[in-house]
Amino acid sequence: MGDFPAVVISGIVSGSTYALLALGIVIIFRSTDTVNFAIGDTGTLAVFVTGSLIAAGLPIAAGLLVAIVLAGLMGVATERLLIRPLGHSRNVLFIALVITIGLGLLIHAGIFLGWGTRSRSFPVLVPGSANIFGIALAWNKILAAVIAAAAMGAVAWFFTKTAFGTAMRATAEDPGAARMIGIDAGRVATIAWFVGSGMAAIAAFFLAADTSLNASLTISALFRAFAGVFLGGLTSMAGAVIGGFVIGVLDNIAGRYISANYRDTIVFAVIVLVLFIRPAGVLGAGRKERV
Amino acid sequence: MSRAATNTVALRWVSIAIAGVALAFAVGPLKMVGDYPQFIIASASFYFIAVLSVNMLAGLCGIWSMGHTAYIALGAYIAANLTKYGVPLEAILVAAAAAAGILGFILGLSAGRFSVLYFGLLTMALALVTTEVVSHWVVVTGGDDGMKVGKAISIFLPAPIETKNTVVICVLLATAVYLIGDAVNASQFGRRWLAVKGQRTAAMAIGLKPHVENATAFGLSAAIASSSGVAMAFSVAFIDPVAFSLDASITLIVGTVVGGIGSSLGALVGSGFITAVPELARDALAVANFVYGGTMVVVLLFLRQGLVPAFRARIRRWRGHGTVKAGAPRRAVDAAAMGALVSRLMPPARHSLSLKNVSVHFSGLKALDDVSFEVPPGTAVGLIGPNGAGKTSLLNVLSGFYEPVSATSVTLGDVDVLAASPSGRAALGMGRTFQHAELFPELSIRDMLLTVAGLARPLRRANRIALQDPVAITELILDGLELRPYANSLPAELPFGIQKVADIGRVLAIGASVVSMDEPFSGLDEHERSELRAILRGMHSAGVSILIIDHAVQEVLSLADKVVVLDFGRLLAYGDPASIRRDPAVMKAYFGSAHQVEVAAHG
Repeated sequence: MGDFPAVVISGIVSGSTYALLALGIVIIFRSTDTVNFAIGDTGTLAVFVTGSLIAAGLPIAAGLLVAIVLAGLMGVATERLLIRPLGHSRNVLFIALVITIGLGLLIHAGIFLGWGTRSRSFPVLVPGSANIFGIALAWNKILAAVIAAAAMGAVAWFFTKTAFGTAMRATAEDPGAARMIGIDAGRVATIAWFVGSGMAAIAAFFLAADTSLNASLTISALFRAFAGVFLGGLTSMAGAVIGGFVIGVLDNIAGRYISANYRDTIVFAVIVLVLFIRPAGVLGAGRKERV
Repeated sequence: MSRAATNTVALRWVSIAIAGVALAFAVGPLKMVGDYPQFIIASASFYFIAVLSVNMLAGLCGIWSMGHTAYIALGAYIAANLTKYGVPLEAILVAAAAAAGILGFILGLSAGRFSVLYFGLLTMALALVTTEVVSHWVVVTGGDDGMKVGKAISIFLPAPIETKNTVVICVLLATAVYLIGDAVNASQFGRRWLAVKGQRTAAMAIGLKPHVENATAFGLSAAIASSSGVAMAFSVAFIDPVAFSLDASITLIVGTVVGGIGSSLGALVGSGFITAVPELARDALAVANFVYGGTMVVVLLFLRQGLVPAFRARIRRWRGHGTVKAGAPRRAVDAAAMGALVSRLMPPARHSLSLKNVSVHFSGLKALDDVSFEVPPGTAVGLIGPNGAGKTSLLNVLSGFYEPVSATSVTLGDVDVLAASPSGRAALGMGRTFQHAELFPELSIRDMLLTVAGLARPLRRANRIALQDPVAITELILDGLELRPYANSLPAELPFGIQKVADIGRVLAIGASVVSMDEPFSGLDEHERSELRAILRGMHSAGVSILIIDHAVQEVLSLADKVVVLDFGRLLAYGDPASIRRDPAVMKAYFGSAHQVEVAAHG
């Protein structure tokens, strides 16, 4: 068990990616009740475009900003064109999920058509690696965790300290009452989809540098993010972030000490167990109709 | 269902069966098509089985499973492993269906705990776990390298079946599954599942256990999915984890969404789509995804229900089923005829419903505070009180939806009512109606009555009621309540007054002898009210115990033998209507002063 601290730390570092994606999922869900399954693909497409721009001479750091904005705009377009026309009715929650699955397939196909099926390399923001408790951890991954933490901090600040952020939280709690006091639900949705999709772009940006740039870049991370969301509850931003980190650590521990071959199985077994005890997630609100 | 309709259905089933068998022989032993079309037909067949299993669950239960690849994989690997030991195809199908059915039943039990969305995501996790297990459990699955599947052996055939002839197995299985899907849709099971899907609360009130219904449906669906895996294993002759990946699960969802849920034909269209697209786009991997994604988005945006149901709805409107014909007002129901009808459907109440010291609290608020009263057999008891008096809470205690924080007892004769689950109360002979009717949105009035009468058979048998046949009961109620013009209509197509009459029809179909009614008069116009009065008088004369909860004080006072008055959860008064009219405490609670009630009562 001598490498336990290292296992935990690298778990936290990968967990930061899951936490980012999980936070994006929850921000979007709270605004429009949509589980955006295309969130990972949106981030991936933005990073593909950015990758081409970087190859054409754009500085890597500027590329990160471009990716965030691009993904944000795609998120806004998704909400406007595909989600808002669905309106509100009993079955919309699931239909919206299936539509975003369809969108994910479209983006996937779009990437294949635009960039081909081969994976590409993607530059790191900072080279080299640090030695922590006997394991080598790339500086780029550490930076990713730091940027993820900063982004999550910014989101926390936005939602608790600014007037519009508070209004957005109010809308998530009670859309009817929010409309009555004059909060524009359309604007809330736009900002949520922008911010949520932007988070996914950060995650995809560093995942691409860590592995390679390919169309399935975010799939396994997205699943761990969903596991984190289950754990924390679909409606809790803090729960999603904590859930994402817990999954990162749990996944690493399961892979190291139990079985590297059955990581997903172990992680999901834990989630299912938790859900049977608390169907709304550990920190989720008890609003059954939403869960 | 009329005899002509029954014949049409029988004719349809026979034609489908003949078409399936003919196709199987044409492409199999008769070799009327080449190898490639043969393979496509085999693929379309096992895709169809898989899509139907997902489609049925979504259509009848509202449960969307993205994890059905798990059951398909189960079927495929059971086939691959058992064939090694010379187990015949028929036994393999049974073993796979049993294993998948049991696992599906267990998973289905939990479906009700989660929303559609959450459960969908959870089953997606199941798909993911399946891929992982299949890739790594090498002994059983051959791991990522996959495994070869031996030839199928049938107990009816002398020699093993050549792989290229397995198309016969696929087509015959698909035909059988098509018919099973159709039969389930038209059966009591299908109707029960639709009832639970549309209105969980009302479904419990007619005696259904939602989690058991969900689990049964899930088990059946999983069993069907497993046979898709068996067919796939034999016709491809080689299986590997790719066939059971998350992408495969999503493809099944595409097929379900595009074809449209709730019909075998929808599953056929959907599976045709997911078979054809990748074949047509074999040289360009991205194109298939493009078509899938694009079609899914477009269909959901513009034809929310999918192709087949959208087409059917158009036909339904064109035939004029949807609209209720205007014209002569409905013939009124007459109290004497109603009494006669009720006595054929329900036993007279034999036992007192008795509540002793019932209290219900909501975090400090006392919704019911130590309430006791009795509904003697065959009496009509009115329950009145201002808003927030606890009337609805009391009804929910009787239906089992609320558990009292304390109660000495709630009994019907010697039976402890509180010990029974909400679904168990119909079997005690207790029925209820709802303030907003709460009919089952996807069942026509006739189908609803048929379902409930079917469920009520044991109760009628126990009460020695001669009339037990669900069809006869349904027809009797349709005529007795003048609902025949609306028999084929869905609740949403009917005016509210008719919906409330249909709700009463539902309680008659249960065969309950103690009926609680939640605000039966609310939302009705004068004509409908007079009709409801006749219905209630008829039920009363037939000896049914009735508990009427309503704001329409005058109506209640004129109909009831005894009246209970609640105020802030406490029992304010209990007595005959005349004494309640004079009770100063009641006047004060209701109208603020004794003077005003005279005006209200006589004005």
